[in-house]
Amino acid sequence: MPEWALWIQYVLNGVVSGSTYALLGLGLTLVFGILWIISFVHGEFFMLGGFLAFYLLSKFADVPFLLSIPIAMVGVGLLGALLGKLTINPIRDRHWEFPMLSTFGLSFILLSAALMLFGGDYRTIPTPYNETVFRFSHFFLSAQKSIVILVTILLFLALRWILIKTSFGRNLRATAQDRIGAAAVGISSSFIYTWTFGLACAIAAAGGVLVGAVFNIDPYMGQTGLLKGWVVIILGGMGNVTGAVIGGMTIGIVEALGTGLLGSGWSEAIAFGVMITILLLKPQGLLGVKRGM
Amino acid sequence: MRFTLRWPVLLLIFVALPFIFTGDFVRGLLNQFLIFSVLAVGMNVVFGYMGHIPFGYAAFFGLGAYGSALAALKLGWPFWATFILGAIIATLAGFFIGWISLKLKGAYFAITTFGFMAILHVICKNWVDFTRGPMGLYGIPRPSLVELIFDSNLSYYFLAMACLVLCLYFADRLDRSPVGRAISGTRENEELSQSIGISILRYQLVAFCVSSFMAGLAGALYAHYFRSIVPDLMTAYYSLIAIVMVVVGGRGTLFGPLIGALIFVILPEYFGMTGPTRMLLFGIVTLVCIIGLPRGVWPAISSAGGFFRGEKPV
Repeated sequence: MPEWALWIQYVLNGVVSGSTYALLGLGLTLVFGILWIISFVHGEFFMLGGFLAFYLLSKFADVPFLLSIPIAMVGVGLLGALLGKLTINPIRDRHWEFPMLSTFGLSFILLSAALMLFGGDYRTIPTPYNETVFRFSHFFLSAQKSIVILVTILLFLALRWILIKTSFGRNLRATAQDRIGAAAVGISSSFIYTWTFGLACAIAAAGGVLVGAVFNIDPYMGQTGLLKGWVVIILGGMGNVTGAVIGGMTIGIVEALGTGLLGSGWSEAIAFGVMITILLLKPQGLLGVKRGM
Repeated sequence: MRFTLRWPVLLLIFVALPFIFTGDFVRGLLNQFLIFSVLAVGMNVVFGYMGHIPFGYAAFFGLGAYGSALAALKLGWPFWATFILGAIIATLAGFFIGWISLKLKGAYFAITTFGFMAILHVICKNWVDFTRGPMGLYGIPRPSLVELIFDSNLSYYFLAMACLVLCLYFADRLDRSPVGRAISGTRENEELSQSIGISILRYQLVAFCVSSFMAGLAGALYAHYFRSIVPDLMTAYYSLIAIVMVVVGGRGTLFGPLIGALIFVILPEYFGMTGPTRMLLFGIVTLVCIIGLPRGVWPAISSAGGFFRGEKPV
């Protein structure tokens, strides 16, 4: 394998991990852009999605892997909507710090519950697609990794369709622009808060399943994942759905190249270095518009 | 009355505590309470008085711990010098990080400080020759001054108490000084403060440095008390528990952080909780406080006290 092909292989792997970052960023950017909440519990739903699929697939052998993604999304989405209704809805009109602190509390609770229920071991979600590997001249991509990329693109397009075409999406965007104005024309803020939070959690759950099938899952993955999610939406611009995908891919590729150059221990430092640079030079993100916070 | 009596009363309570609870285990808990109180008091300066959320706060805690521990282990410095060195390293880092991050507001500030903490954590984990990486440092000596060795929980208690009372007194003086008024002013309304000639960046930087000094001191106290440290001191967990202590205790009040630290150190031990169950308790207490008692426990206690004295509730 020639030297240049190795680097292209790094980029390819970066796109795969970037896809999972993008899925985390999509939900976070939705929660931030529409609800104006800085969510610290988002990573926990990412982790729960992975564990739900893991138990589903290892207990019931005849469930196909691809079906486990929508099941995890629905399960975690409903849980997220319920928890959002209980812990965020009652305080949504207070200063932005309060809902954020409330998500801290929720994150502690879910993480400790996961540690008690699942234990701290690393696990891999069983999937038949890791065996098949596609080869394009010098590069390799397993079927499972191509599924990761495809599902990410699919979910991104679906989310865009929901936001632009459906009446739920229009209500969402109306609430994002002006909550009181939207309430005045009959859009229930409570409904929007609950289900936007649920939707964001569902997208994160899909990310968790995909990560678990390619890499592995453990209860702490939500914590590290969340950090990457933050980097992604800062890069892409907070509240920008397309930006989240581009930001995710960028971070994935930069990290993969940085790992190739410096070794894996430093990849986190590279991601955060990029983030701080972006925050200082262009705080609204690469694609974002400036807004007050 | 209130201003003249509360410091002697506080000192009296602090001095009496280890003689009321004489068990070595409980004295150990009291030590932890003091160490985390110093951390919470420092957090309160930025989070309470200045109104910013520094997620990267644990970076200063970790820097203080590593600075002090390395100076004691590699250079063999006496404890007062290593404590000051740890706190000064944290303050210098606070100056640099604050100078960059304070140009950003709100959530962006919080996340930038977080990014710096993550970078420091990675450096600390990978620089194995100097910090021993993920293996951490152990065998950190207990402080000793000529013949006085703070090796029992009781003597360490008085060392930690001295640090806490100094930090608390300084925080109180700062809050009442013109500088502190200016800092609170920037919290309430930045434009208005600027319009009367307050340089926001400069005053907020002062508060940030003071708070990182206290975090560094708490880190040094932590390192020499537990005698072993790992790079995970610089992770979000410690920032979060400091934030939660301040929120639960009462944000922007002088004694609120102490109440928060007391709840968070004593409560899990009282119920015999470890590991995950401890986090579960933290989560539940946080949620209950945020939703039900948003101003914190201390304001609730003091307004109840005022109620009994016949004052109108605020």
